[in-house]
Amino acid sequence: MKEYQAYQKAFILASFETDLKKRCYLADNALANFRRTSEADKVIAKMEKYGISVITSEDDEYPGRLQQLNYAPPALYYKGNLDLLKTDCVTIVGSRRASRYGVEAAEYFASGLAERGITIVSGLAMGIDAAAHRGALKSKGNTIAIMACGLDRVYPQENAELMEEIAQKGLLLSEYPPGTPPLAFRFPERNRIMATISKGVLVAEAGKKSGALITADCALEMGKELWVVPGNIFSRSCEGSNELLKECGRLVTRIGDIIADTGGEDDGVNLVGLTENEKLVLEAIDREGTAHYSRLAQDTGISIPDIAKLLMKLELNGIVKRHTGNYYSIAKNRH
Amino acid sequence: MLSKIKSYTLEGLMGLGVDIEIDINAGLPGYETVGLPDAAVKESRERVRAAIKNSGFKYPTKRITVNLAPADSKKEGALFDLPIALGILIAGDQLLKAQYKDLTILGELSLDGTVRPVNGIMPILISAMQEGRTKFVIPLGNQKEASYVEGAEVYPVATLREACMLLCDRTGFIPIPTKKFTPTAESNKYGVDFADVKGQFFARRAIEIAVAGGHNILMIGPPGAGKTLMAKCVPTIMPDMTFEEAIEVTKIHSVAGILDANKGIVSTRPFRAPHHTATIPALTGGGTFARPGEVSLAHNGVLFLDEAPEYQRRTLEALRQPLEDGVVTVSRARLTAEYPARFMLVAGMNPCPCGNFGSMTRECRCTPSEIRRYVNKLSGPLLDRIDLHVEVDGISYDELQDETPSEDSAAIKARVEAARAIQRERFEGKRNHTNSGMDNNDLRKYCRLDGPGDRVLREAYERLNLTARAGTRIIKVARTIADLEGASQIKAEHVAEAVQYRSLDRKYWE
Repeated sequence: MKEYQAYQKAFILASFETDLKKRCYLADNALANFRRTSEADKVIAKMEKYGISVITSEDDEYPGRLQQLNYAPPALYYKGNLDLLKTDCVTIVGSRRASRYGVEAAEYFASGLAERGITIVSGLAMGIDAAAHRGALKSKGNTIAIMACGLDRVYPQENAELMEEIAQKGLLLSEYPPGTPPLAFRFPERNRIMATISKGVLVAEAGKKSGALITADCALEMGKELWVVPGNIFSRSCEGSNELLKECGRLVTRIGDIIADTGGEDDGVNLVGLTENEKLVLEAIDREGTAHYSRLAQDTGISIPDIAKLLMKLELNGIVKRHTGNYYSIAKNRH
Repeated sequence: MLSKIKSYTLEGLMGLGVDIEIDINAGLPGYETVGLPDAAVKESRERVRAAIKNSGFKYPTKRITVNLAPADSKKEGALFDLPIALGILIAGDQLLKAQYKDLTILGELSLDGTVRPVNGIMPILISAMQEGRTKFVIPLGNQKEASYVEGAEVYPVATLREACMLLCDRTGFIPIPTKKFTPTAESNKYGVDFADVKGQFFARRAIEIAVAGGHNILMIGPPGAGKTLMAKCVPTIMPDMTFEEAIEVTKIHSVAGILDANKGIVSTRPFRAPHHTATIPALTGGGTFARPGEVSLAHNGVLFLDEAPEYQRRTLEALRQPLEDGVVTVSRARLTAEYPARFMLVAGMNPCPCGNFGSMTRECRCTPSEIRRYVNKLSGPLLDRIDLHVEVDGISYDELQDETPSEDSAAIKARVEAARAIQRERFEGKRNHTNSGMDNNDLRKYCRLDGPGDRVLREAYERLNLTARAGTRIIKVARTIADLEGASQIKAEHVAEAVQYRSLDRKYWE
């Protein structure tokens, strides 16, 4: 069993307070309020059992980004790789009951950004959140899930496997001690953490009263970027996100849009790691948008059998997409 | 007086020996046929009477009884006209010197006494030869067909009178010489060539692979893209038929009555394209006498189903047995016949009901559910038997950029034959001799994937959303691609190419 300092135990006990302001107050005066810190030992034993670690705001490793918060959580419970909090993060949020379009958009941005080394942050809810995590894991990128309950809880039940996978490959984070149930008031609290650790928040799809809008507000208050995926104007599930677009959000349609905003270089088509001929072909497709292979052969001067082989390889690697009639376009996540 | 002449009728692809016994005796003039004759045999009375009269003989005004033995099997067709007429003349003592016991006589008569050609001469001759009968009198119109039956002594006759002279004195008649079949001299008269197909790199390549490995193929493309032309070109790159294969095909075509009398043998691989309104009996065979259907007529050749989703589902399902077994069993009340049906299936379809889905120039007006319904008409079990799906270029002639002349069929055929030779060696002593027919044992033995190949396949599953059933198809096709290259081991690039030919498995239309 890991040994904890007295102040750490006091912070752990403070984190049990439900009211946010009071919790921070208790933490500030931790040692005065919790003289009998031995009570914390039960909690520590439980954490041990579930493989949960803790870090308190007095510790050196406590993420600086959270310290900027007005009410910084006194203790952070986590499972997985805490160093991910030092990487560039983008938060993706949206409705639980998302449309197929929203799910696809979330997955597309998540996998594309993760491929470029950006950590995807989300809340492990159903719908958009899950899609964002999956997208990041699919392209073998990093992802952080911030929970609104104790890490010993599995919520929602449907995402149990995903939660397990994130604990293995990414980071599960919560400001609530083990055993805390996921009550409604905790979600807005959780949202402020999601906003603060990222460079910006991407709203993939949100209805009129979606919690994603709270995260968006947090982002604006903290002066973070707010990106919004345009939605179907007839769909109720896009009303909130489209409203954001009208007021303050930045409309994004490609991964390059976000990369440019986070200080990266938006170089159009991603040509990293390709051979000369492959670059030639991709550039030719990029000029045309969607091109027939015979046209590509003419434009690049590569013989048809060779270009067919190249295109097959590029397709298998997910770089180009084949359409009916043997037309090719660049796969969406290469933009 | 009594006469007894040997003739044959058809039962499926076999000849059935029939003894024609004719008795003439005193009594009220009349004519009776016994021994389960069908309508065509019964009606022969009128043809026989007119033919006898118009050939300068006398039709006996006595009671004539014709018995077709064995009495318990059904006799069909008009090929008993000539033996019956000869029998009546013999029994009526008008041909006193007639020698006919060693002869097998077949032929239909017209009213003026000329002998008309009949169907099924080749299978009948072959069956009769097996039963030890070697001498035949057949219609002149069937002589080409008969000339390919080795060892048969065949006398073609043009009229009833000529047949009578033959029976009485054989000295003036010379049996037709037996011909030997030379494939190269007669084949390659398909009228189409792959040199006529412009562009279409992927489709051409896929067809080459399909023919090389004996795989079935499905072409998907908009109307007017050239699917039919390419399908017609498929037989031009298939290896030439051997004599045995040609005889098999000729027998079926002879029974079906579609044999070209001027050729007498089917020397080119058949190409059959039944319309999509075809019924199950038309496709698999049937009718009262269980005639061969399109699948059997396409034996050793190509069966082309254009607009495959337009066929009735039940009709397509009926193809499953022949695709699996290479034979089709047709059962009817009167007889059960088994016809060979080893063909290569070439199917064509539009990408959607209107045909414009995926086109860059024309707009598709189909809804996603319409498209899905259209594609789903091809059932899983049928798609299971089609190894390659290829997208035909939906490109207009003006858009066509490739100016290089297309490769002609002969060059492709050479590569196909080389690949087939490798497969013949591989499957020596087995029933199956192409990659498409490999079973699980063969797959384990001949299709082991190396590390990179396995990785490509696994990645393809993930990235392209392949379904489980695609797996073995891809490996078989990869084997053929390796054979075309002469490679003994299946490499990653072969698997990668094979993956390309599974369009329908990719849930493309979702």
